[in-house]
Amino acid sequence: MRKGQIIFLLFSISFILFGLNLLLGPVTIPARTLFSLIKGSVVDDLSRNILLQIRFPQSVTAILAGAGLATAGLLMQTLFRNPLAGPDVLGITSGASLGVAVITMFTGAWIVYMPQLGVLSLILSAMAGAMVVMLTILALSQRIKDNAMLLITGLMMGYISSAVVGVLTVYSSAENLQAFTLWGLGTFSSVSWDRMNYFAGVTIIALFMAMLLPKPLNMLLMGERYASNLGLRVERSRFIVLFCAGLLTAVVTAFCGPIAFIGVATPHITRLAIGGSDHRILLPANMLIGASVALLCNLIARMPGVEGALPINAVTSLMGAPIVIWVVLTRHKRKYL
Amino acid sequence: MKKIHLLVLIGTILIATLFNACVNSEHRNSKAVNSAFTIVHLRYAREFSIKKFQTYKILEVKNAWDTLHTLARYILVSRKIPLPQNLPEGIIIRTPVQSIGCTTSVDACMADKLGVLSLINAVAEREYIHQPIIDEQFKKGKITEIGSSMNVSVEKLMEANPEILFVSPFKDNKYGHLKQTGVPLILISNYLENHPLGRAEWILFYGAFFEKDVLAKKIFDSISSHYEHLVSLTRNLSHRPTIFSGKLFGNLWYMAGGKSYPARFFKDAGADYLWANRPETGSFPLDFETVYQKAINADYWQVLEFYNGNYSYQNLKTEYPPYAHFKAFQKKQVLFCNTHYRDYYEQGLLEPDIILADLINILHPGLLKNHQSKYFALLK
Repeated sequence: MRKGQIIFLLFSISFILFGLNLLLGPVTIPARTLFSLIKGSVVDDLSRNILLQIRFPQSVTAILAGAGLATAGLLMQTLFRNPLAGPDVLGITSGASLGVAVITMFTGAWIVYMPQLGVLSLILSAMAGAMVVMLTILALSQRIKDNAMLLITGLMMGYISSAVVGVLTVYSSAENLQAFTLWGLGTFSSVSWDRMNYFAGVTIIALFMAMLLPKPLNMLLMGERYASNLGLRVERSRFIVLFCAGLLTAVVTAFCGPIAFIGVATPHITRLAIGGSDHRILLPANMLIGASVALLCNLIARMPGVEGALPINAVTSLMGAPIVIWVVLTRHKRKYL
Repeated sequence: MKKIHLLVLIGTILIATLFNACVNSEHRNSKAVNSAFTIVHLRYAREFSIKKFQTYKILEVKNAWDTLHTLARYILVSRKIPLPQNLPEGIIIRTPVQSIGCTTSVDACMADKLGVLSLINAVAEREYIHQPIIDEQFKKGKITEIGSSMNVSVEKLMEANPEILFVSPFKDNKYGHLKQTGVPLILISNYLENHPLGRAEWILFYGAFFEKDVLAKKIFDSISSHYEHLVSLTRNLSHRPTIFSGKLFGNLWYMAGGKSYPARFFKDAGADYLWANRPETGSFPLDFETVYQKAINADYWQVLEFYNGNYSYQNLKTEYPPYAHFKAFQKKQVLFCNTHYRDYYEQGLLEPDIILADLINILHPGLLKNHQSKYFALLK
């Protein structure tokens, strides 16, 4: 298949899943109603509100969060040349959590409820936390050449962040603790329309930034010496990639809470699907697959047709963890990464 | 041979059942059946039992997760008599106990009601305990802080060395390591009771350790008769407003089951709880949409929030804008309790009658004369 066809196919899958997310849910809404809403005709208030105020923002959030986390995962895997790198595996998400913990514990729970200032400080603190962990891992990666060791270091960074969060929670007020715990559960329904422009704005900018990076990424994948021989300014490229991945992890984590496994698992599905590691196609395909995975997880968590629901992170972990295990088991067979 | 065995077995079971039936029917009023023991009749509590023998009492805590076994058995023997021979198996406690450790604020409330606050010499989570005497005693150095309820410090507990320590049991027991201190752990599973009066009736269990059985019974009777009086007011009301409770927690809405503690309050307050038919005694997770569809036109919405400050409709709306679509929100009929200022989970356990009165006063205005609300009021 040619590049265009693959992208078109993946786009169609995402689009269908988006449609299913709008159509299916615990409350039965006939497809007819959805179409008349799109056409602009009058529909009953309940269906209209469920579609426009609940399902639509939730699906858009899932698309952006999925694409964002998947891209962050891909950038990290290429940068570290490690198939197990990803927002949550290397402790980046824990770093973001630490940032959010610090800001909620010290400034108070109001920050979570504030529409503008709160959101901004939430992103910045998540970003700061994520960047601290990423920079540390990057610095360590210069000295530690063994990927397994790097991974262990990343896990340890995650543990340290979690431990600091643990200490903070002991000494914080019950109210701040509650706000933080709530955030830590993870959900795609936390981004309502009045926050969507912030979330969508930052995520889309970061995704665009990532789309400009396929060339340096391809070079980095071949090794740093090779990349610098080809004329790449390795240090600078590396920083841009890192910044982009950190921003994506931070913004998604700040708004949706820590979402497990989508970041690390999606790039593997993408490589398997397109059978190569050329970032010119890998990047957009990965975004679309990330969006599809998040939409699928959201659909499963809401359990259409049944009175009940599942925590979103349980679903993403159940889907993502087997993929990671498969990667570990079949690693030696694959050429790329 | 086998048949004889079987007959003997069946015979034994029959006799045991008959005897048991006699004991149960006779014991409704705590009367002695024979000189062996009397069972204290409990009206609402299901998770413990008290048997009175001539020289001792047996307190048993049921195992909610494994009904074939009891979770704990305590043998209470008065200090005034020498320890009787051939006591049954169990943890022996000499009563009245002279020092106690509390791991939850509920324990402190119970001790307060029974007039034995001064016996407390160890507390966990002091910040949630609101009795001023505790603060005073603490400043005088008479009370040791022993950590949090989920993480009691072994060393601090040994230092305080109370005669007994009240703890809340969980399915996977987190208190095993405390056994090495030698301080008997008294398991309090009152939170598993599904009837508000069942939780309050645990005061009888606490009372036994201080030989305050009579006082405990008096306190409980006063609570239950007030509660039952209120129920009699609402039982035959024709208008029963619809109600639902809770909020989103992450992507899930944990709705109280139909057999749960809040559901019972709603029923007794003369409301029609929307999920009353669900069999759960705890809560169950729902997607927001499900709640939205079913509760959009409900008359009332109950919200409990721990919030430092003035919680308002604006807070609810900022948290999740679709909350504002509920009719209860639009008509400003949100029953609200700010647990930062109101001890709903602590003191409230011993005041189910007052909680019920609060609910009735809002759901059926005018039914109660001159009621001052303590826990619940309409959100402003």
